[in-house]
Amino acid sequence: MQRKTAHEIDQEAAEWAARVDRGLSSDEQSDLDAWLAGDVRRVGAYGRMRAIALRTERAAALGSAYRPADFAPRRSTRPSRRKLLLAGGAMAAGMAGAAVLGWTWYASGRFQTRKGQMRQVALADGSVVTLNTASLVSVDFSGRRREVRLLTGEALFDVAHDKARPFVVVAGMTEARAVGTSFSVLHLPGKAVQVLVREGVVEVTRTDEPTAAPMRVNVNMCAISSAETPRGAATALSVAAVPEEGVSRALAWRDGRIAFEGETLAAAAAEFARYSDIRIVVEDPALAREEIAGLYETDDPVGFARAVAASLRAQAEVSDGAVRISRPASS
Amino acid sequence: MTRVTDERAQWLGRFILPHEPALRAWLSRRTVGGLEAEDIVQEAYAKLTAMPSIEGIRDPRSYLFQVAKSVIATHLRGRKVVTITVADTDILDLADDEPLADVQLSDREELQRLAEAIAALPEPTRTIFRLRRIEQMPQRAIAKQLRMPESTVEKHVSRAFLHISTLLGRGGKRRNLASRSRVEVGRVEDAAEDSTRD
Repeated sequence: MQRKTAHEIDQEAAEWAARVDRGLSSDEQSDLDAWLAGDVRRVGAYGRMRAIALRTERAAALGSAYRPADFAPRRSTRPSRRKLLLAGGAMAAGMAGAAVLGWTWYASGRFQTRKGQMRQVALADGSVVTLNTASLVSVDFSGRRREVRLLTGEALFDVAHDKARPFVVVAGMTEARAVGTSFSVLHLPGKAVQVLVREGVVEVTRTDEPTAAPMRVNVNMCAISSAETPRGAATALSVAAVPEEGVSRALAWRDGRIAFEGETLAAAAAEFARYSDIRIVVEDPALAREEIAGLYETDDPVGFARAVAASLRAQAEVSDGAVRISRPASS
Repeated sequence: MTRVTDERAQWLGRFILPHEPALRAWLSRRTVGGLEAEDIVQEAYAKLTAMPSIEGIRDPRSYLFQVAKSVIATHLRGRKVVTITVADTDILDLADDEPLADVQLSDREELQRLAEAIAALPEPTRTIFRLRRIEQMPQRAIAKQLRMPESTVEKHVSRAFLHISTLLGRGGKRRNLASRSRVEVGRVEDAAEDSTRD
Protein backbone atom coordinates (compact mmCIF):
# COMPACT_ATOMS: atom_id res chain seq x y z
CA MET A 1 0.00 0.00 0.00
CA GLN A 2 1.26 3.42 -0.89
CA ARG A 3 2.02 5.67 2.03
CA LYS A 4 -0.54 8.41 2.23
CA THR A 5 0.40 12.00 2.74
CA ALA A 6 -0.44 13.77 5.96
CA HIS A 7 -2.97 15.86 4.09
CA GLU A 8 -4.80 12.83 2.69
CA ILE A 9 -4.97 11.38 6.17
CA ASP A 10 -6.34 14.67 7.50
CA GLN A 11 -9.04 14.56 4.84
CA GLU A 12 -10.07 11.03 5.75
CA ALA A 13 -10.01 11.98 9.43
CA ALA A 14 -12.34 14.91 8.70
CA GLU A 15 -14.73 12.55 6.90
CA TRP A 16 -14.76 10.25 9.91
CA ALA A 17 -15.25 13.19 12.26
CA ALA A 18 -18.30 14.25 10.21
CA ARG A 19 -19.75 10.73 10.36
CA VAL A 20 -19.18 10.51 14.10
CA ASP A 21 -20.79 13.92 14.44
CA ARG A 22 -24.10 12.68 13.01
CA GLY A 23 -23.77 9.30 14.74
CA LEU A 24 -22.22 6.02 13.61
CA SER A 25 -23.96 2.77 12.84
CA SER A 26 -22.34 -0.25 14.45
CA ASP A 27 -20.91 -1.29 11.08
CA GLU A 28 -19.38 2.12 10.67
CA GLN A 29 -17.94 1.94 14.17
CA SER A 30 -16.04 -1.22 13.27
CA ASP A 31 -14.91 0.38 10.02
CA LEU A 32 -13.60 3.33 12.01
CA ASP A 33 -11.80 1.02 14.42
CA ALA A 34 -10.21 -0.82 11.49
CA TRP A 35 -9.23 2.42 9.83
CA LEU A 36 -7.61 3.71 13.03
CA ALA A 37 -5.71 0.47 13.50
CA GLY A 38 -4.18 0.76 10.02
CA ASP A 39 -1.73 3.61 10.67
CA VAL A 40 -0.66 5.37 13.83
CA ARG A 41 -0.86 8.74 12.10
CA ARG A 42 -4.58 8.18 11.56
CA VAL A 43 -5.09 8.04 15.33
CA GLY A 44 -3.40 11.42 15.62
CA ALA A 45 -5.25 12.99 12.72
CA TYR A 46 -8.58 11.66 13.94
CA GLY A 47 -8.00 12.68 17.57
CA ARG A 48 -7.18 16.16 16.36
CA MET A 49 -10.17 16.36 14.02
CA ARG A 50 -12.55 15.10 16.70
CA ALA A 51 -11.12 17.78 18.98
CA ILE A 52 -11.99 20.37 16.31
CA ALA A 53 -15.48 18.92 15.93
CA LEU A 54 -16.16 19.17 19.67
CA ARG A 55 -14.54 22.58 19.93
CA THR A 56 -16.83 23.99 17.26
CA GLU A 57 -19.88 22.99 19.31
CA ARG A 58 -19.23 26.16 21.27
CA ALA A 59 -20.29 28.14 18.22
CA ALA A 60 -23.87 27.60 19.41
CA ALA A 61 -23.21 30.48 21.81
CA LEU A 62 -22.96 32.83 18.82
CA GLY A 63 -26.70 32.52 18.39
CA SER A 64 -28.98 33.06 15.42
CA ALA A 65 -27.97 36.67 15.01
CA TYR A 66 -24.41 35.72 14.05
CA ARG A 67 -23.45 37.51 10.85
CA PRO A 68 -20.40 36.11 9.09
CA ALA A 69 -19.77 39.47 7.40
CA ASP A 70 -18.93 40.97 10.80
CA PHE A 71 -16.10 38.50 11.17
CA ALA A 72 -14.83 38.28 7.61
CA PRO A 73 -11.09 38.76 7.26
CA ARG A 74 -10.19 42.34 6.37
CA ARG A 75 -7.00 44.22 5.72
CA SER A 76 -7.07 45.33 9.31
CA THR A 77 -5.26 42.84 11.53
CA ARG A 78 -7.27 43.65 14.61
CA PRO A 79 -10.97 43.22 13.98
CA SER A 80 -11.48 41.41 17.27
CA ARG A 81 -13.70 42.42 20.10
CA ARG A 82 -15.49 45.29 18.49
CA LYS A 83 -17.03 42.84 16.02
CA LEU A 84 -18.12 40.48 18.72
CA LEU A 85 -19.63 43.46 20.43
CA LEU A 86 -21.58 44.32 17.33
CA ALA A 87 -22.79 40.79 16.91
CA GLY A 88 -23.88 40.88 20.51
CA GLY A 89 -25.83 44.04 19.85
CA ALA A 90 -27.49 42.43 16.88
CA MET A 91 -28.31 39.52 19.10
CA ALA A 92 -30.01 41.79 21.60
CA ALA A 93 -31.93 43.52 18.83
CA GLY A 94 -32.96 40.17 17.43
CA MET A 95 -34.45 38.98 20.66
CA ALA A 96 -38.06 39.43 19.70
CA GLY A 97 -37.42 37.33 16.62
CA ALA A 98 -35.58 34.75 18.61
CA ALA A 99 -38.58 34.31 20.86
CA VAL A 100 -40.67 33.44 17.84
CA LEU A 101 -38.22 30.67 17.05
CA GLY A 102 -38.86 29.29 20.50
CA TRP A 103 -35.83 30.71 22.26
CA THR A 104 -37.63 32.32 25.12
CA TRP A 105 -34.52 32.49 27.27
CA TYR A 106 -33.10 35.25 25.15
CA ALA A 107 -36.20 37.37 25.59
CA SER A 108 -36.41 36.91 29.32
CA GLY A 109 -32.74 37.49 29.99
CA ARG A 110 -32.62 34.49 32.29
CA PHE A 111 -30.25 31.67 31.60
CA GLN A 112 -30.12 28.42 33.48
CA THR A 113 -28.60 25.01 33.55
CA ARG A 114 -30.00 21.75 34.83
CA LYS A 115 -28.06 19.54 37.17
CA GLY A 116 -25.08 18.12 35.32
CA GLN A 117 -25.42 20.61 32.49
CA MET A 118 -22.96 23.28 31.49
CA ARG A 119 -23.61 26.10 29.11
CA GLN A 120 -22.06 29.15 27.58
CA VAL A 121 -23.95 32.34 26.87
CA ALA A 122 -22.69 35.25 24.78
CA LEU A 123 -24.05 38.49 26.19
CA ALA A 124 -24.99 41.60 24.28
CA ASP A 125 -21.77 43.44 25.21
CA GLY A 126 -19.47 40.66 24.02
CA SER A 127 -18.95 39.20 27.47
CA VAL A 128 -19.33 35.46 27.85
CA VAL A 129 -20.86 33.68 30.82
CA THR A 130 -20.14 30.01 31.38
CA LEU A 131 -22.72 28.46 33.67
CA ASN A 132 -21.83 25.44 35.76
CA THR A 133 -24.30 22.80 36.91
CA ALA A 134 -27.70 23.79 38.36
CA SER A 135 -27.16 27.52 37.99
CA LEU A 136 -29.42 30.43 37.21
CA VAL A 137 -28.50 33.96 36.18
CA SER A 138 -30.60 36.89 35.09
CA VAL A 139 -29.07 39.56 32.92
CA ASP A 140 -30.07 43.20 32.86
CA PHE A 141 -28.08 45.58 30.70
CA SER A 142 -30.72 48.29 30.56
CA GLY A 143 -29.23 50.55 33.21
CA ARG A 144 -25.93 52.31 33.75
CA ARG A 145 -24.24 49.13 34.71
CA ARG A 146 -24.19 45.70 33.15
CA GLU A 147 -25.91 43.74 35.85
CA VAL A 148 -25.99 39.98 36.14
CA ARG A 149 -27.69 38.33 39.09
CA LEU A 150 -26.35 34.93 40.03
CA LEU A 151 -29.42 33.58 41.76
CA THR A 152 -27.88 30.23 42.46
CA GLY A 153 -25.00 28.06 41.35
CA GLU A 154 -21.68 28.93 39.81
CA ALA A 155 -20.57 30.86 36.76
CA LEU A 156 -17.42 32.12 35.13
CA PHE A 157 -17.61 35.64 33.75
CA ASP A 158 -15.35 36.63 30.93
CA VAL A 159 -16.04 40.33 30.85
CA ALA A 160 -15.66 42.56 27.80
CA HIS A 161 -13.85 45.78 28.61
CA ASP A 162 -16.11 48.81 28.94
CA LYS A 163 -14.98 51.54 31.30
CA ALA A 164 -18.20 53.49 30.99
CA ARG A 165 -20.38 50.60 32.14
CA PRO A 166 -19.06 48.44 34.92
CA PHE A 167 -20.05 44.79 34.92
CA VAL A 168 -21.60 43.84 38.24
CA VAL A 169 -22.43 40.35 39.42
CA VAL A 170 -24.91 40.30 42.27
CA ALA A 171 -25.00 37.17 44.42
CA GLY A 172 -27.25 37.61 47.43
CA MET A 173 -25.80 40.43 49.52
CA THR A 174 -22.50 40.31 47.64
CA GLU A 175 -21.64 42.41 44.62
CA ALA A 176 -18.59 41.88 42.44
CA ARG A 177 -17.77 44.70 40.10
CA ALA A 178 -15.37 44.55 37.17
CA VAL A 179 -14.46 46.62 34.16
CA GLY A 180 -12.89 43.97 31.97
CA THR A 181 -11.67 40.76 33.50
CA SER A 182 -12.35 37.11 34.08
CA PHE A 183 -13.70 35.82 37.35
CA SER A 184 -16.01 33.16 38.73
CA VAL A 185 -18.68 33.43 41.38
CA LEU A 186 -19.99 30.57 43.47
CA HIS A 187 -23.31 31.10 45.21
CA LEU A 188 -24.87 28.10 46.93
CA PRO A 189 -27.81 28.30 49.33
CA GLY A 190 -26.76 28.98 52.91
CA LYS A 191 -23.06 29.13 52.06
CA ALA A 192 -20.56 31.96 51.75
CA VAL A 193 -20.29 33.50 48.30
CA GLN A 194 -16.89 32.99 46.68
CA VAL A 195 -15.45 35.31 44.06
CA LEU A 196 -12.36 33.89 42.35
CA VAL A 197 -10.36 36.18 40.08
CA ARG A 198 -8.58 34.62 37.13
CA GLU A 199 -7.61 37.81 35.34
CA GLY A 200 -7.63 41.50 36.20
CA VAL A 201 -9.15 43.04 39.31
CA VAL A 202 -12.62 42.75 40.82
CA GLU A 203 -14.12 44.95 43.52
CA VAL A 204 -16.35 43.22 46.00
CA THR A 205 -18.89 45.01 48.18
CA ARG A 206 -21.82 44.00 50.36
CA THR A 207 -25.26 45.49 50.26
CA ASP A 208 -25.50 45.26 54.08
CA GLU A 209 -22.37 47.42 54.39
CA PRO A 210 -23.16 50.25 52.00
CA THR A 211 -20.62 52.66 53.47
CA ALA A 212 -17.65 50.30 53.55
CA ALA A 213 -14.91 50.69 50.95
CA PRO A 214 -14.96 47.99 48.28
CA MET A 215 -12.51 45.15 48.70
CA ARG A 216 -10.13 44.87 45.77
CA VAL A 217 -9.53 41.31 44.73
CA ASN A 218 -6.52 40.73 42.49
CA VAL A 219 -5.66 37.93 40.13
CA ASN A 220 -5.33 34.51 41.80
CA MET A 221 -7.22 35.71 44.85
CA CYS A 222 -10.54 34.54 46.18
CA ALA A 223 -12.94 36.73 48.16
CA ILE A 224 -15.20 34.96 50.61
CA SER A 225 -18.35 36.75 51.60
CA SER A 226 -20.42 35.24 54.40
CA ALA A 227 -24.00 34.18 53.79
CA GLU A 228 -25.38 36.24 56.65
CA THR A 229 -24.72 39.63 58.17
CA PRO A 230 -22.23 38.96 60.96
CA ARG A 231 -22.95 40.19 64.48
CA GLY A 232 -20.84 42.80 66.19
CA ALA A 233 -17.52 43.78 64.74
CA ALA A 234 -16.95 40.57 62.82
CA THR A 235 -16.18 41.11 59.16
CA ALA A 236 -18.29 39.60 56.43
CA LEU A 237 -15.61 39.81 53.74
CA SER A 238 -12.26 38.12 53.66
CA VAL A 239 -9.77 37.37 50.95
CA ALA A 240 -7.36 34.50 50.38
CA ALA A 241 -4.56 33.89 47.90
CA VAL A 242 -5.05 30.92 45.62
CA PRO A 243 -2.07 29.37 43.86
CA GLU A 244 -2.37 29.27 40.09
CA GLU A 245 -2.97 25.52 40.00
CA GLY A 246 -5.67 26.16 42.56
CA VAL A 247 -7.44 28.52 40.18
CA SER A 248 -7.45 26.06 37.32
CA ARG A 249 -8.50 23.34 39.76
CA ALA A 250 -11.41 25.45 40.90
CA LEU A 251 -12.40 25.98 37.28
CA ALA A 252 -12.00 22.34 36.22
CA TRP A 253 -15.79 22.17 35.92
CA ARG A 254 -15.51 23.97 32.61
CA ASP A 255 -14.04 20.76 31.22
CA GLY A 256 -16.68 18.65 32.91
CA ARG A 257 -14.38 17.73 35.76
CA ILE A 258 -14.00 18.13 39.48
CA ALA A 259 -10.57 18.37 41.02
CA PHE A 260 -9.86 17.40 44.61
CA GLU A 261 -6.71 17.89 46.56
CA GLY A 262 -6.98 16.82 50.13
CA GLU A 263 -10.74 17.34 50.55
CA THR A 264 -12.51 14.85 52.77
CA LEU A 265 -14.57 12.15 51.13
CA ALA A 266 -17.66 13.69 52.74
CA ALA A 267 -16.92 17.06 51.11
CA ALA A 268 -16.26 15.38 47.77
CA ALA A 269 -19.57 13.54 47.97
CA ALA A 270 -21.33 16.83 48.64
CA GLU A 271 -19.58 18.38 45.65
CA PHE A 272 -20.73 15.55 43.39
CA ALA A 273 -24.29 16.06 44.60
CA ARG A 274 -24.25 19.41 42.79
CA TYR A 275 -23.79 17.62 39.49
CA SER A 276 -25.75 14.42 39.71
CA ASP A 277 -28.84 12.95 41.32
CA ILE A 278 -26.94 9.78 42.07
CA ARG A 279 -26.02 10.22 45.72
CA ILE A 280 -22.71 9.12 47.12
CA VAL A 281 -23.38 7.70 50.57
CA VAL A 282 -20.60 7.24 53.11
CA GLU A 283 -21.95 6.08 56.49
CA ASP A 284 -18.67 5.14 58.11
CA PRO A 285 -17.42 8.39 59.74
CA ALA A 286 -13.75 7.32 59.59
CA LEU A 287 -14.10 6.73 55.87
CA ALA A 288 -15.92 10.03 55.40
CA ARG A 289 -12.92 11.82 56.91
CA GLU A 290 -10.42 10.23 54.49
CA GLU A 291 -8.74 12.77 52.27
CA ILE A 292 -8.81 12.33 48.53
CA ALA A 293 -7.09 13.79 45.50
CA GLY A 294 -7.46 13.56 41.76
CA LEU A 295 -9.38 14.75 38.76
CA TYR A 296 -12.81 13.20 38.13
CA GLU A 297 -15.58 13.55 35.63
CA THR A 298 -18.54 15.44 37.03
CA ASP A 299 -21.07 13.18 35.33
CA ASP A 300 -19.65 9.94 36.65
CA PRO A 301 -20.19 9.73 40.42
CA VAL A 302 -20.14 5.94 40.22
CA GLY A 303 -16.76 5.93 38.52
CA PHE A 304 -15.51 8.32 41.18
CA ALA A 305 -16.86 6.14 43.99
CA ARG A 306 -15.23 3.04 42.51
CA ALA A 307 -11.87 4.75 42.04
CA VAL A 308 -11.93 6.13 45.57
CA ALA A 309 -13.09 2.83 47.05
CA ALA A 310 -10.23 1.03 45.30
CA SER A 311 -7.66 3.44 46.68
CA LEU A 312 -9.08 3.34 50.21
CA ARG A 313 -9.46 -0.44 50.27
CA ALA A 314 -13.19 0.00 50.55
CA GLN A 315 -16.01 -1.10 48.32
CA ALA A 316 -18.53 0.79 46.22
CA GLU A 317 -22.00 -0.63 45.85
CA VAL A 318 -24.53 0.76 43.43
CA SER A 319 -28.19 0.58 44.34
CA ASP A 320 -31.21 2.59 43.27
CA GLY A 321 -30.13 6.20 42.86
CA ALA A 322 -27.16 5.90 45.16
CA VAL A 323 -23.68 4.50 45.41
CA ARG A 324 -22.50 3.44 48.85
CA ILE A 325 -18.86 3.41 49.86
CA SER A 326 -18.05 1.23 52.83
CA ARG A 327 -15.26 -0.83 54.32
CA PRO A 328 -15.77 -4.58 54.48
CA ALA A 329 -16.94 -5.47 57.99
CA SER A 330 -14.18 -8.02 58.60
CA SER A 331 -11.12 -5.81 58.09
CA MET B 1 -7.31 -1.24 19.50
CA THR B 2 -7.40 2.50 19.93
CA ARG B 3 -10.71 4.10 20.69
CA VAL B 4 -10.68 7.85 20.76
CA THR B 5 -12.80 9.02 23.67
CA ASP B 6 -14.63 12.33 23.54
CA GLU B 7 -13.08 13.19 26.85
CA ARG B 8 -9.61 12.96 25.34
CA ALA B 9 -10.67 14.86 22.24
CA GLN B 10 -12.05 17.65 24.47
CA TRP B 11 -8.75 17.80 26.27
CA LEU B 12 -6.81 17.94 23.00
CA GLY B 13 -9.01 20.75 21.76
CA ARG B 14 -8.74 22.75 24.91
CA PHE B 15 -5.12 22.30 25.89
CA ILE B 16 -3.14 21.10 22.88
CA LEU B 17 -4.71 22.69 19.83
CA PRO B 18 -4.03 26.27 21.02
CA HIS B 19 -0.30 25.43 21.05
CA GLU B 20 -0.20 23.72 17.68
CA PRO B 21 0.68 26.88 15.71
CA ALA B 22 3.64 27.43 18.04
CA LEU B 23 4.81 23.86 17.51
CA ARG B 24 4.54 24.21 13.75
CA ALA B 25 6.45 27.48 13.84
CA TRP B 26 9.12 25.83 15.94
CA LEU B 27 9.36 22.90 13.53
CA SER B 28 9.54 25.19 10.51
CA ARG B 29 12.60 26.87 11.97
CA ARG B 30 14.54 23.63 12.06
CA THR B 31 15.91 21.05 9.71
CA VAL B 32 14.45 17.92 11.15
CA GLY B 33 16.47 15.29 9.35
CA GLY B 34 14.21 15.28 6.31
CA LEU B 35 11.08 14.60 8.33
CA GLU B 36 7.91 16.36 7.31
CA ALA B 37 6.52 18.71 9.95
CA GLU B 38 3.04 17.40 9.09
CA ASP B 39 4.03 13.86 9.97
CA ILE B 40 5.60 14.91 13.24
CA VAL B 41 2.48 16.81 14.26
CA GLN B 42 0.24 13.87 13.38
CA GLU B 43 2.38 11.43 15.29
CA ALA B 44 2.55 13.75 18.28
CA TYR B 45 -1.24 13.89 18.29
CA ALA B 46 -1.36 10.12 17.93
CA LYS B 47 0.74 9.74 21.07
CA LEU B 48 -1.34 12.25 23.01
CA THR B 49 -4.54 10.55 21.82
CA ALA B 50 -3.44 7.03 22.68
CA MET B 51 -1.85 7.82 26.05
CA PRO B 52 -3.62 5.86 28.79
CA SER B 53 -3.85 8.87 31.09
CA ILE B 54 -3.35 12.60 30.84
CA GLU B 55 -3.46 13.20 34.54
CA GLY B 56 -0.41 14.91 35.84
CA ILE B 57 0.25 16.92 32.69
CA ARG B 58 0.61 20.32 34.25
CA ASP B 59 1.99 22.22 31.31
CA PRO B 60 0.36 20.97 28.09
CA ARG B 61 2.43 23.27 25.92
CA SER B 62 5.82 21.99 26.96
CA TYR B 63 4.41 18.48 27.03
CA LEU B 64 3.36 18.81 23.39
CA PHE B 65 6.85 20.00 22.47
CA GLN B 66 8.38 17.15 24.42
CA VAL B 67 6.23 14.58 22.66
CA ALA B 68 7.08 16.07 19.26
CA LYS B 69 10.76 15.90 20.12
CA SER B 70 10.47 12.29 21.15
CA VAL B 71 8.77 11.52 17.82
CA ILE B 72 11.71 13.11 16.01
CA ALA B 73 14.24 11.31 18.19
CA THR B 74 12.59 7.96 17.51
CA HIS B 75 12.75 8.53 13.79
CA LEU B 76 16.36 9.60 13.90
CA ARG B 77 17.37 6.58 15.95
CA GLY B 78 15.50 4.25 13.65
CA ARG B 79 17.55 5.22 10.65
CA LYS B 80 20.16 2.87 9.24
CA VAL B 81 22.51 5.68 8.34
CA VAL B 82 22.30 8.61 10.66
CA THR B 83 23.51 11.89 9.38
CA ILE B 84 23.49 14.08 12.39
CA THR B 85 23.41 17.71 11.57
CA VAL B 86 23.68 20.49 14.06
CA ALA B 87 19.94 20.99 13.91
CA ASP B 88 19.29 17.34 14.74
CA THR B 89 21.45 17.32 17.85
CA ASP B 90 19.81 20.51 18.90
CA ILE B 91 16.53 18.69 18.90
CA LEU B 92 17.84 15.62 20.64
CA ASP B 93 19.17 17.85 23.37
CA LEU B 94 15.58 18.75 24.07
CA ALA B 95 16.69 22.31 24.44
CA ASP B 96 13.50 24.19 25.01
CA ASP B 97 13.82 27.69 23.73
CA GLU B 98 10.10 28.29 23.93
CA PRO B 99 8.68 30.64 26.50
CA LEU B 100 6.79 28.67 29.09
CA ALA B 101 3.84 30.97 29.13
CA ASP B 102 0.72 28.91 29.49
CA VAL B 103 -1.55 31.16 27.53
CA GLN B 104 -5.07 29.90 27.67
CA LEU B 105 -7.61 31.46 25.41
CA SER B 106 -10.40 33.11 27.28
CA ASP B 107 -13.87 31.97 26.33
CA ARG B 108 -14.47 35.26 24.63
CA GLU B 109 -11.32 35.04 22.52
CA GLU B 110 -12.14 31.51 21.63
CA LEU B 111 -15.65 32.38 20.51
CA GLN B 112 -14.18 35.22 18.50
CA ARG B 113 -11.80 32.85 16.70
CA LEU B 114 -14.59 30.42 16.02
CA ALA B 115 -16.77 33.19 14.62
CA GLU B 116 -13.91 34.18 12.32
CA ALA B 117 -13.18 30.63 11.25
CA ILE B 118 -16.82 30.03 10.31
CA ALA B 119 -16.95 33.35 8.47
CA ALA B 120 -13.93 32.26 6.43
CA LEU B 121 -15.64 29.09 5.13
CA PRO B 122 -16.62 29.03 1.48
CA GLU B 123 -20.29 28.71 0.60
CA PRO B 124 -22.33 26.54 0.74
CA THR B 125 -20.13 24.92 3.41
CA ARG B 126 -20.64 27.94 5.63
CA THR B 127 -24.42 27.89 5.55
CA ILE B 128 -24.51 24.16 6.19
CA PHE B 129 -22.04 24.37 9.03
CA ARG B 130 -23.90 27.26 10.51
CA LEU B 131 -27.14 25.29 10.57
CA ARG B 132 -25.32 22.33 12.08
CA ARG B 133 -23.39 24.11 14.80
CA ILE B 134 -25.05 27.43 15.53
CA GLU B 135 -28.66 26.40 14.93
CA GLN B 136 -27.78 22.88 16.09
CA MET B 137 -29.95 21.20 13.46
CA PRO B 138 -29.58 17.46 12.82
CA GLN B 139 -27.92 16.49 9.55
CA ARG B 140 -31.14 15.04 8.20
CA ALA B 141 -33.12 18.21 8.86
CA ILE B 142 -30.49 20.28 7.09
CA ALA B 143 -30.62 17.99 4.07
CA LYS B 144 -34.38 18.36 3.98
CA GLN B 145 -34.35 22.12 4.32
CA LEU B 146 -31.69 22.62 1.67
CA ARG B 147 -33.05 19.84 -0.52
CA MET B 148 -29.83 17.99 -0.89
CA PRO B 149 -28.80 14.43 -0.10
CA GLU B 150 -27.60 13.81 3.44
CA SER B 151 -24.28 12.64 2.07
CA THR B 152 -23.72 16.10 0.59
CA VAL B 153 -24.41 17.76 3.93
CA GLU B 154 -21.98 15.36 5.54
CA LYS B 155 -19.34 16.15 2.94
CA HIS B 156 -19.64 19.86 3.69
CA VAL B 157 -19.46 19.28 7.44
CA SER B 158 -16.24 17.32 6.95
CA ARG B 159 -14.90 20.08 4.72
CA ALA B 160 -15.71 22.63 7.40
CA PHE B 161 -13.80 20.59 9.99
CA LEU B 162 -10.81 20.45 7.68
CA HIS B 163 -10.90 24.19 6.98
CA ILE B 164 -11.33 25.12 10.62
CA SER B 165 -8.57 22.74 11.67
CA THR B 166 -6.27 24.55 9.26
CA LEU B 167 -7.22 27.93 10.67
CA LEU B 168 -7.12 27.05 14.34
CA GLY B 169 -4.31 24.51 14.33
CA ARG B 170 -2.06 25.85 11.67
CA GLY B 171 -2.79 29.49 12.22
CA GLY B 172 -3.06 30.06 8.48
CA LYS B 173 -3.67 28.50 5.14
CA ARG B 174 -0.33 28.07 3.50
CA ARG B 175 2.94 27.49 5.15
CA ASN B 176 4.68 30.50 3.68
CA LEU B 177 1.88 32.68 4.93
CA ALA B 178 1.92 31.11 8.31
CA SER B 179 3.52 33.89 10.27
CA ARG B 180 1.39 36.62 8.78
CA SER B 181 -1.82 34.73 9.29
CA ARG B 182 -0.86 33.98 12.83
CA VAL B 183 -0.82 37.65 13.59
CA GLU B 184 -4.13 37.99 11.88
CA VAL B 185 -5.73 35.37 14.09
CA GLY B 186 -3.97 37.40 16.73
CA ARG B 187 -3.47 36.78 20.38
CA VAL B 188 -0.90 37.32 23.05
CA GLU B 189 0.90 34.05 22.57
CA ASP B 190 1.39 34.56 18.87
CA ALA B 191 2.76 38.00 19.42
CA ALA B 192 5.28 36.59 21.86
CA GLU B 193 6.09 33.90 19.33
CA ASP B 194 6.84 36.47 16.69
CA SER B 195 8.99 38.56 18.94
CA THR B 196 11.24 35.58 19.59
CA ARG B 197 11.81 35.09 15.92
CA ASP B 198 13.59 38.19 14.86
